[in-house]
Amino acid sequence: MNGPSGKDVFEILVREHADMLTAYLRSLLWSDQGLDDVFQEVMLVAWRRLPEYDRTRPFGAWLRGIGRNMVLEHHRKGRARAAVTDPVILDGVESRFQALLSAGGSAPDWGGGGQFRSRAERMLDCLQRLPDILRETVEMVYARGMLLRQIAESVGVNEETAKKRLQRARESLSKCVLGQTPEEGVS
Amino acid sequence: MSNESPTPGGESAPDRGPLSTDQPGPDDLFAHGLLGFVHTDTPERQRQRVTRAMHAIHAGDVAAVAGRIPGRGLRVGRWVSGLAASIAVIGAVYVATIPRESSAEAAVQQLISSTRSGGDRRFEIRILDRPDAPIPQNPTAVVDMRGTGSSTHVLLDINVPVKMFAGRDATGEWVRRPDGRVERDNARGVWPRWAVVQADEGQTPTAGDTLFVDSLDTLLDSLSKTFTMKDAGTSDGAVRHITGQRLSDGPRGPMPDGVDIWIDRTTRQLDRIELRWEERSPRDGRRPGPPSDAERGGGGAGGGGGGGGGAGPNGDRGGPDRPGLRGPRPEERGPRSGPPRDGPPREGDGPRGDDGDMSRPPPGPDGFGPRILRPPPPRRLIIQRVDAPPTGFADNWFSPEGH
Repeated sequence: MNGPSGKDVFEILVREHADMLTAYLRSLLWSDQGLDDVFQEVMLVAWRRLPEYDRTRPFGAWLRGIGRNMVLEHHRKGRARAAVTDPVILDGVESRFQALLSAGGSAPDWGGGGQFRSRAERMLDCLQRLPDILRETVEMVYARGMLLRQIAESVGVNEETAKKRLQRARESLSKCVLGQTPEEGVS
Repeated sequence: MSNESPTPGGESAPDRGPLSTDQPGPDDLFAHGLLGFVHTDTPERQRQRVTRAMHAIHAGDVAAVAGRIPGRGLRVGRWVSGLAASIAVIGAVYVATIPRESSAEAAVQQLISSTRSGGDRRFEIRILDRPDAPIPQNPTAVVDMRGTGSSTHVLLDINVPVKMFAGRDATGEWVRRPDGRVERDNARGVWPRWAVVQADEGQTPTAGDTLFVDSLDTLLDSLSKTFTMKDAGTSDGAVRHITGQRLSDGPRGPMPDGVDIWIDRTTRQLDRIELRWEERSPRDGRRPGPPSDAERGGGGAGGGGGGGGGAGPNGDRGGPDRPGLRGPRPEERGPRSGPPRDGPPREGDGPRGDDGDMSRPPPGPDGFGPRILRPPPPRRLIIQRVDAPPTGFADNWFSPEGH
């Protein structure tokens, strides 16, 4: 890996896993703020630690491990805010990414390029299957960038209700995109 | 903590649930990450993100290598330290000068995300063959859409050159020919040329081509890669006007030479796009672009001038009573640049009228003649978002049975 073309190989790997890593960091971060900084830092750390990388292990999982540590480190230093710090929940997020990436018999370190994107975009199909009231809430947040307060005002509910709808929608979408029924939850 | 976290651009970031005071669960977070990704992180943005990271790695390596040069005495050590510092500064400057999104480009990226909303939406298409031609009241076609990505359902209500419907439903693509026949095999081959953005010039569009109508975000994404976007300076309080100039080394293909985008400041949704094609010299040969005058000709069976399309689910589709383009924007911009239409006829040209315009070629036996005899393409294509029916489209709206 550290030969003359090591950086080229690394860049190829990075480009293949960039979509997955971005989505993963979005899951762990409180907001968009700091996303680019954390992404870049994950790449820098990965490059520095590349000699330590065990090639028998999935590269994507290795990157996510670095990403998780970087999010927590940024959180501790006040440079970004983690959505959660509970290791059990973080493990749960990791298991869902593994499930998405290994769905359909793919290798567990699968996650490259447009393939991750196409899998992630299942979310859009799943979105269409949601009840209108939940789908509209998701679209208002993610497609239109509306705040919960604005959503609550526009649909005539209180903010807590809008928040609950959003959470319900996302939980359903997670099950859908992983092809699960609610009873088959990933740990 | 406030539920509104500021973005680097100073705008309020959407409240996406992790902002809840409740502890979000793994499903919540997992879906949040994917939703944010599919709505925000375009391939172009990802490319820029990786490029920035690789530049940072490169700059860091240069500085680190310089810092590891062994010193042989104080003077050399200082010199090396100075070199390392200089390289580090140069590296930092280098990274800092990596092109970042301008505010206009960021707005377009945000617009791309917005257009991925899967709700019912409607657009009017108007095609002009001269840059200064008056904008017709009635649209050339009305495009209705539902869903996103490859599963988008589409209805093309085409007014000219012949009245016809085409679309895509759960079964696939279809076209209802003027004689009433519904065709599903190679339906896209008879779709209007303007509906196809990335078909190679001279080639019949195939299912592998990208249709701007079925993926407006794809069109916008392509435009953002081909154009430099900047504020036009003519924005008003309600609408932001962004203009794009084509990169000189950008791909040619059927993409336009110029683009203007108007974004609704309140909804952050697309208000309107104008695509412009400059006229090439005859030696350039036929250039790609949207449909020709003949394709819009209005002389075919069924005619096209009779209104803005068939009645929608609630009867509000187009027509003479439909409001035209909003505001004075087209007039404000004045005539478009572009050479006069002169020079010898080009391949595919029809006969030319005394006024310099191309007269319409004869329609083919099934009214699709313009696809056989294609005059030069027009100069402007306008996509205007209009209100979809408040009750949404009917269930069979995107199938031939609905028309």
